[in-house]
Amino acid sequence: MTIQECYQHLGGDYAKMEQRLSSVRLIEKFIAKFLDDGSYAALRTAMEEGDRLSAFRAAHTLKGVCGNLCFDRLLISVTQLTEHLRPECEAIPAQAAALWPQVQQDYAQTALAIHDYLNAVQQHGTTAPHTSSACDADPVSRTEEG
Amino acid sequence: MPDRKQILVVEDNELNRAFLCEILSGEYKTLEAGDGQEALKILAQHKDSIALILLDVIMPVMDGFTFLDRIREDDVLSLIPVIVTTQSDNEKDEIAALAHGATDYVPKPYRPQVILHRVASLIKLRETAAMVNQFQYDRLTGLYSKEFFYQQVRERLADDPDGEYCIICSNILNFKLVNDLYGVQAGDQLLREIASIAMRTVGDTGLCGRLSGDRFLYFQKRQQEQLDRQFLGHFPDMDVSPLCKSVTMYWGIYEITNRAIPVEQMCDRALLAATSIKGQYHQYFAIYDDSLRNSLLREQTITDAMEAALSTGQFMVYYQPKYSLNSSSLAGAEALVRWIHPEWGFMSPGEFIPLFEKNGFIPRLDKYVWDQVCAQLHQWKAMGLPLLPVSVNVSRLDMYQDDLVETLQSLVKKYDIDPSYLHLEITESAYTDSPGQIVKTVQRLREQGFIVEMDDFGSGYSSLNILGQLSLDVLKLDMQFIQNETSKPASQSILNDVVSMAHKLHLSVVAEGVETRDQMSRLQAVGCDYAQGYFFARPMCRADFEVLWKQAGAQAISRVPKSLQPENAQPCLLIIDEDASYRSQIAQALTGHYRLKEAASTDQALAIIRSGEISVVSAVLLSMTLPGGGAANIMQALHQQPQYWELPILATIPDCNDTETLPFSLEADDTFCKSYPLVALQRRLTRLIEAASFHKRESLLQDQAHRDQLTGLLNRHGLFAALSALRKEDLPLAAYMFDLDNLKEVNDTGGHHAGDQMICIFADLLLRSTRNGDILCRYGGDEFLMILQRMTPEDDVIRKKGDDICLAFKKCFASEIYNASCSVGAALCEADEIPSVELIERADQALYDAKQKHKGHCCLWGKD
Repeated sequence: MTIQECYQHLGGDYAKMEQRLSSVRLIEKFIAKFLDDGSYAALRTAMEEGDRLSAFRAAHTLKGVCGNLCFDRLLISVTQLTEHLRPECEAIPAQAAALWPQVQQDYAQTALAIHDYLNAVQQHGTTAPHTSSACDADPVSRTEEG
Repeated sequence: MPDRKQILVVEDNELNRAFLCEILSGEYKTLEAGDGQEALKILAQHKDSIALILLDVIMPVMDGFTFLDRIREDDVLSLIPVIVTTQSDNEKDEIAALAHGATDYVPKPYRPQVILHRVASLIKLRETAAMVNQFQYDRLTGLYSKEFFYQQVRERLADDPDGEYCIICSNILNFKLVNDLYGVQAGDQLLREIASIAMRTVGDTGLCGRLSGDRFLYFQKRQQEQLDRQFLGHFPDMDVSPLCKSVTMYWGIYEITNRAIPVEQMCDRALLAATSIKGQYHQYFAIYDDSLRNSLLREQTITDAMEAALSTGQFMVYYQPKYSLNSSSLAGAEALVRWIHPEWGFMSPGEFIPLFEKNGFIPRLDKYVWDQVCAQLHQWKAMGLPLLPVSVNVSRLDMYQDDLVETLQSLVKKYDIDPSYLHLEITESAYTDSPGQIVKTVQRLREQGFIVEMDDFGSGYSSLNILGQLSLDVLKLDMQFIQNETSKPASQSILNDVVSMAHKLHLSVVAEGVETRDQMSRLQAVGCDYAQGYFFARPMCRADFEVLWKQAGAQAISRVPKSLQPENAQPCLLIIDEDASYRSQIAQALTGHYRLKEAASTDQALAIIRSGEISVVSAVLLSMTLPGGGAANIMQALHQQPQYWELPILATIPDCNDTETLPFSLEADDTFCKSYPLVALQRRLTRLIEAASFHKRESLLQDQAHRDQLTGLLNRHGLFAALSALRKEDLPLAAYMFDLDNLKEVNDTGGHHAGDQMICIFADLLLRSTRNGDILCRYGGDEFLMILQRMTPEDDVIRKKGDDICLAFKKCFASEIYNASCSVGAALCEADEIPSVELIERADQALYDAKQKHKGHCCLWGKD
């Protein structure tokens, strides 16, 4: 799997991402970090516990991360969720609760695509083939990257 | 490569933070904080090195807005620009961030180009602002910088068109000494303290700035400045540090009356006023006014003209003779520079020398004078004149020239001069400035054969210690010292002690500025060796000096006092005799009483005369029986040289009844018969030498009785003596009676010193405008008579000569504060007339007409 295919699977905009970080190595580094990012876990916990404020903060953070990584599909659903959670109220608003399964699904697809890509890279022992010249110029293995 | 600037990234989400750091990492170093509190901790440690903060708003523990509020409370932190990262769709956050003091915002998601651009712009903006701040304030004192002070003054003046203000400039006396004694840090602390006092004193109504170094500028209401003058000078009663109490400040005040003048120039004027009193004790402030301005403009005019003056030969070397007080003979001269400007005329050395010392031109002028003097010594040597030493001034600044010794050496080499003929007058103040260096330089100069004189001794803080440290040759007593000491009763004067001490140190003593007979007598009585001054002769041009030299004869000034020279304790006798046994008898009889020079033949005697060796001889014992009429030849040789006219000649003849030799001996001053006992010879010689010396002094005194003491011109006695000596071939004559139009006004406004100076300048002008043989007389206080010999008897020529002198005199004072002019009446004495008092009366009548009808010009008797 190439990184472009990865972005296709997770519904992201690789071309935009490539403008932000010019090397595949860096993009790989940050999408790998996404799996370790705690904001989705915090959102899930807050949604399950009915804590609107914490859910809002976590959704807000997740939205920022998705925006930075050009994960557009997840960004759309998380942005909507954030706005549903923004108004101050005691419980989780119904609209937010209704949207939550979609966010979970989008997150799962995103995480899966990243896993698959990282696995493919690990199997090849090197960064996946890439059409971009930047990839050829930066053939650093994940092992070397630490 | 310069250190990369450091940015603090404050963002709670690790991935976003890493993302931001990655964007910035190409151009900046980054520090990371997960919330506001963590960021504050980092700032406490690194605030001076953080160029910018990138701040997320929504964070746990301490959010972005609280963080912004906290850093606004700190003067230093509030200067660091902050970019807040906001959601692109949340305008409310952006406005709130700016309201809390954020400098700018960037929308999320993070777009590297936008962030890098925004960051770079803000850092540059902040640096520019810091630089502007740095330009506005002096870093050491916190006062306004010079430029910003100017700008603020301009604004204040524009805001208050009718206000009366002044600008003050202050200096600290000897601030460099403070740095030197207590260290630069103490000096800086002193400046800060004075700045703080200045700010307190000036208050909110005025402005303070630092011009440079220890110079401060103040802008104040004029009324307030006058109140503050009580603090001028120093701060004895203020609560300040001991160092601050001990310093003296001086202030220049420029009262702003003409606002068209640029502020920079106003400050310059205040500074000039301050500088004008530098070194004047107990004068702490000066107000800039027109006279100060004129005097500064005059200085500038002179400064502008000095280079051209040097290159076009406007500087002339004058020689002031020095006389031996033992023998009244000419002993040398001091070379003095005179400046004759083509437009301004005679420039007073009292004006331009101190200025040249101040502006650093003096070493070049001195070198020029040294060169001229060496060239002259060379010329005199080539002319066969017996050489006299000439002293030249070596200024304080010359002593700091590394190549001084080499310069002087190369000059004496270039002109083939024995260095002992170039005396170097080094001013006493040079020794006190830098004793170590001067001692070494003087030592080297003496090793090269130069004679070193300490000039102006007694004028300043003369240290007797200096005399012990320095190996000198001659001590030159200052004019003022001479005048003070000789005006006291002998019992109270230290003159005798100073001269004795100098002699004990084997130094000759020269007194300068001797102006009266009393002074000369006192100096003779205390054993002073040499003297110069108006009593003897004024400084004169080379030609006049040569005439005087030839007439007077000379005895060179010595590095060892006469009284300490065994050979000089006895007069020198030249024995010219063909009889060796007679010479031997005389030598035996006169040993211990005379130094003897012997010549066995006419040729040997003539050689002694031509070589100038005879200049040290007090009497000649001349045998009338020299073969081949030698005695007549020798007497003729002596008579041909005016300087030997006074030399007594004792003719020796074998027999008093010898009719062959007796007639010749009558040409001599006395005759001695060889058959007489030699004891009689000794008595005869003593009487002869005393008579000659008496006669010489009598002529000198007679000459002095005929001269005006101030100008050196003839007085009325001298005038009538000179008139009676006129011969028919000197006719026709033109007599000019001059009157200085406004001497009284000058005396009233500038004091008698200024008046005397004007009289001397006029006398000098007359000397320069006339030929040898013309008669010049100071006829009265401000009246001068000039009689020109062999004058073309044409009205226009006579009138033009008078007008030319009037014009030249006016030009001499063109740039002075007072105007000077003279009027002149002229009268002609035709070739067939007999010059008489009537001629003077006619010139006087013509002068009356000139003053009535043509003031400042010449009127011709019977014609105008």
